[in-house]
Amino acid sequence: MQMNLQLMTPEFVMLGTAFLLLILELFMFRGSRKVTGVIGIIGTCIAGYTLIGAGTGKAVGGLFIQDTVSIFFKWLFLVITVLILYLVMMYEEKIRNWRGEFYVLIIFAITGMMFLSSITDFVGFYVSLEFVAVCLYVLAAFTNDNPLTVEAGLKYLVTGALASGFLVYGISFIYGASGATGFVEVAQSLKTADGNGFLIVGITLLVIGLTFKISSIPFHVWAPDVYQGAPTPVTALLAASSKAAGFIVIMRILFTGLIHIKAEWIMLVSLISGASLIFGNLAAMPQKDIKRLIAYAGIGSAGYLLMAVAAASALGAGAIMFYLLTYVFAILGSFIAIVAFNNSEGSDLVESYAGLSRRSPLLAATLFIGLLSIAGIPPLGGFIAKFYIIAAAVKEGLWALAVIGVVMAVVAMYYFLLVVKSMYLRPPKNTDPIRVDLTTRALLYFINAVTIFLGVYPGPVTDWVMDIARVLF
Amino acid sequence: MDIWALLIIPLVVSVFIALVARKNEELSSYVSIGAVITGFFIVLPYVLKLPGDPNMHPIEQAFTWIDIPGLKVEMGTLIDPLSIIMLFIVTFVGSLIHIYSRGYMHGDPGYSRFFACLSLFIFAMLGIVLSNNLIMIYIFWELVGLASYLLIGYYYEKPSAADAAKKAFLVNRIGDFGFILGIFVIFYATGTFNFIEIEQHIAAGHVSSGTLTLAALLIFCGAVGKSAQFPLHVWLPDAMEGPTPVSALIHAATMVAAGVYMLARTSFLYAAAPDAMVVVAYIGGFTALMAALMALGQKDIKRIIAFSTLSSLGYMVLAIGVGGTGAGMFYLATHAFFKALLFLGAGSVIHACHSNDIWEMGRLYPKMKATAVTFILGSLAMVGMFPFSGFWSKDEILSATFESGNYFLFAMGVLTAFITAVFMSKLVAVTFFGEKKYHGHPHESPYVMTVPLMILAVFAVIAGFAGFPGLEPNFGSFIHTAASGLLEHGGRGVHAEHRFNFMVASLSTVVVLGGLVLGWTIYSRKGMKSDVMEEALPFTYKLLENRFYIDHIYDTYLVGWLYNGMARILNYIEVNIIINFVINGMAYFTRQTGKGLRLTTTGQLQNYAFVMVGGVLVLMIIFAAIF
Repeated sequence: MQMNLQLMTPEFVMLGTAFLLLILELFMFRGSRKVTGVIGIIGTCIAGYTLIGAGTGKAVGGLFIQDTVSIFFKWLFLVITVLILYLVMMYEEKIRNWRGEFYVLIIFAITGMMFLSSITDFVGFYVSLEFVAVCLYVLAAFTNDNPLTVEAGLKYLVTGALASGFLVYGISFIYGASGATGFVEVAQSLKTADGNGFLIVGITLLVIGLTFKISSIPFHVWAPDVYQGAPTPVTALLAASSKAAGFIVIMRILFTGLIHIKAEWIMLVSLISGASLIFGNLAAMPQKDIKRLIAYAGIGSAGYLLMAVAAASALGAGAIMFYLLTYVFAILGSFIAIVAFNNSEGSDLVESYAGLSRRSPLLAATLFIGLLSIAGIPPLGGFIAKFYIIAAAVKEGLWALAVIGVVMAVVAMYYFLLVVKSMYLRPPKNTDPIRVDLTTRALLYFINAVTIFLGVYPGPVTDWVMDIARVLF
Repeated sequence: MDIWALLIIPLVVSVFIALVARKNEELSSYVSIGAVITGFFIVLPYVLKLPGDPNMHPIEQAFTWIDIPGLKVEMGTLIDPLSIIMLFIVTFVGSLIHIYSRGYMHGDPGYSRFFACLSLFIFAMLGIVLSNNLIMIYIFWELVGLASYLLIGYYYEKPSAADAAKKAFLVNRIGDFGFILGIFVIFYATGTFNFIEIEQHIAAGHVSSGTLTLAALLIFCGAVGKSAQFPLHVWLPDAMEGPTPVSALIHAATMVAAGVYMLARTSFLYAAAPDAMVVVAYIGGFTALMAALMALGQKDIKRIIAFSTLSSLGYMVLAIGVGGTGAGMFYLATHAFFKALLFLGAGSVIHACHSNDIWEMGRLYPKMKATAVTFILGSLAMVGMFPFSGFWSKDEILSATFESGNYFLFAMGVLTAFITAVFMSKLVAVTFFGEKKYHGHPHESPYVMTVPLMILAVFAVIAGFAGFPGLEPNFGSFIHTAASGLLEHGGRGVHAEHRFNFMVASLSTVVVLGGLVLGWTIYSRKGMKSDVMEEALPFTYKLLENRFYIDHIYDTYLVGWLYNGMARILNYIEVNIIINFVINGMAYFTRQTGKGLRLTTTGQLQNYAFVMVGGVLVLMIIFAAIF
């Protein structure tokens, strides 16, 4: 059995950082843990350094694969880690107890997601998934002095356990039909098998179980309460990385393991995609709390990404990666602005954002760019991403989904523009400027520049993701 | 890389002034002037190398901007003699006008805004000139439109300026609509936007002649708008509401010539579409004559020059239409010098007299000698007097028209030259000589304004020798390379290099002299208070003064009847059917659905689990029903 453990260096660096921080925590006094965040960011950067020029190949006897797809997603996760750790440093005043552990759990969760992007086997997949999930359950209920947070954490735990149940049940059906757990082996054994009833039940349960991570129908119910109740950095983590991790797993399982019976799952994924698009976008309209609004919008975004999954082509896979890239920057920029605003005003309600453009032009501009990028307005990155997804769907003949996607993009415009209207057109209740410190300003300028760059000059990035996407097919 | 700097520097400067330096007027003007002068020095080496290498190989640098299956768009630059000459004109005349503006705009409250817009314009204009493909040229085409809008409406608190800006923008939109359709036709026929690749496709005969004619005519629409040809010429005279340096730079020397430049750039297309060329030639010839006649009936010094610009643009388009691309570009170059000079001279006069009406000036020569002398030199170049620059370039257009065998157009061109001589001599006689009619104490403008005048005057006098027939290589041979193709092939109908036609030259000289003598005898008489033509030919004068009532017809019939009528019908449909029924109905329905859907999220954990399991069951049943 070939171990090839050097392929896992970035994951080991992340784990090492987490353990180091746990040990250091023993020797620290109560108080600020910004230093923990800084060490975490340094560790993440070292992990990134080891990822530069990382070789491809298989490790631990084929259970772990390093290819350009997993490298792309690992980069994405590392960028998310840096931004989320920074977000926690902004937020940590609100955490009373175990501040250090908060950072550590985030690093653990991300490490699990990095493993998820490299798995090639149902067993490894399930273990990594639960590793991530346990970290997220704890994180969602972390500030236990707030009843709303505790409730959110509990709901997340129970619904998550239910979803895991469906997932394992589905995997066991597939194992029963194919007699294998590795994705490649499953694919080989299903090449000849005809779609018998048990296999179809297995696929249905598996796909539905996977929808929990990406918060799409029918396992979306946790999202609004948890997004609203969880500490904001955790909400950001769920919105950005949980979605990315869910989709790399979906791509690996559906595009590698179950590619020979794609006719069966395309139908199912299309159904889920259409329902998520309609539900998420329509239900987002009456929302008053910006985190809840983003939760519903996130259900809609999952719908778009599933549309690209349903296309089941290299173009669709490239579109997923490009969409996630633009989504990560747009959503994290927005959350940094939300935390900065909450630190100053103590509110997440859309109406409290009235007149923000006069109080802090940069925060208003960041939310403007971030939210409108998710809504898909040119010349921002999100527009190109949606364009790609719809192009992929049309190319595979998924006309109904494409039409729903375009119509729902208009609805998305409506509820995001309500936020913009509040920020730019309503007069502020008090006119004191909101202070934003220099590092945050620089970071926001950078994130906004990336979002605009991805929209104005997407050429090189789209070429890059399309090259990567061809690996999957 | 230096070529990209040409684009980046003015853009950065424009943003810098708008965001950082707007409070500091001195700094704003200095960085803006610095940007355009830097541009000039980047272009200069290319210009100096040009005479040694007239058949230079085009240099193309491009990167992919958008690349999705079925659509590839580049951002790129194309350097060949055509673009080098245009770059030289834009940066050189631009530099002088930037410097002049420092004096002219002195003390204006929007000083920094003015320079920010000017730098934005230089960025956009250089973008048009450098473009290697149709999409990029279209983007920058719209950007110069934006800069022009901002600068015409510079005195936005004045309703007439705001209206003129809107009019310019909207009229240009009509032309641009045709332009973008033309681009789509080309893309549909060839599958590319790149000029060199389009030319290869056309040369290889992949495109049917009907498609080519359609594309050529649609693309010409863009030039009709931007270069203010009949019937979209109405915006240019009104655009004189902008500050005078803007009129000189944008509405005389460079932007309005962009249409002609674009036609020259796509001349391979017109060479393959002879039918379209006939239309181009007639539109150009007609515009030239019509505008010259209109200029006879004007009193406002800037308007007279504006109509002469219209007429000159008509000349250039005529040249392209008869296949004389080299002649057209040569006229464009000399015109940039003498027309910028005339506008800046007019600005200097307006600065001194605080009036635009030539009948409130008179006898300014002793008061402002530098302005008067340079203005007279510019006028002589404008009318095409031997040996000033206008003579050589106008003569090339006339001989190209003559040799194309269309004697009707030739006659129109000669008649235009005659009328131009009449109104230019009137302008000079009434403004600088005759009796004193001004109020107050006009004085010569500061050096920062007169020195650019003098430099432009030198070029207005001598630039014509670049096209001197005995010189080899001369101006025509540079453009010949560009016009006869980026590829090495001579197009049908394009004969860019012209021999000097002695007969045509002597005829035009006689005609111009006749016009000058006529104009001078009528308008240098003593005791004249207003235009004698108004008393002698009241009906004709009224007709000319009101520009053949074309604007009036547009206002009454197009805007008044057609537009307002359609607006009323559409308004009814919009308010009652679309808004009340469709939009509000859908919005109401969607909002209610949203509210309903929100209720599914009750906050009860048991309900959540129920929704999840129920969802799975529903999906399983649907799925089982399908398979």
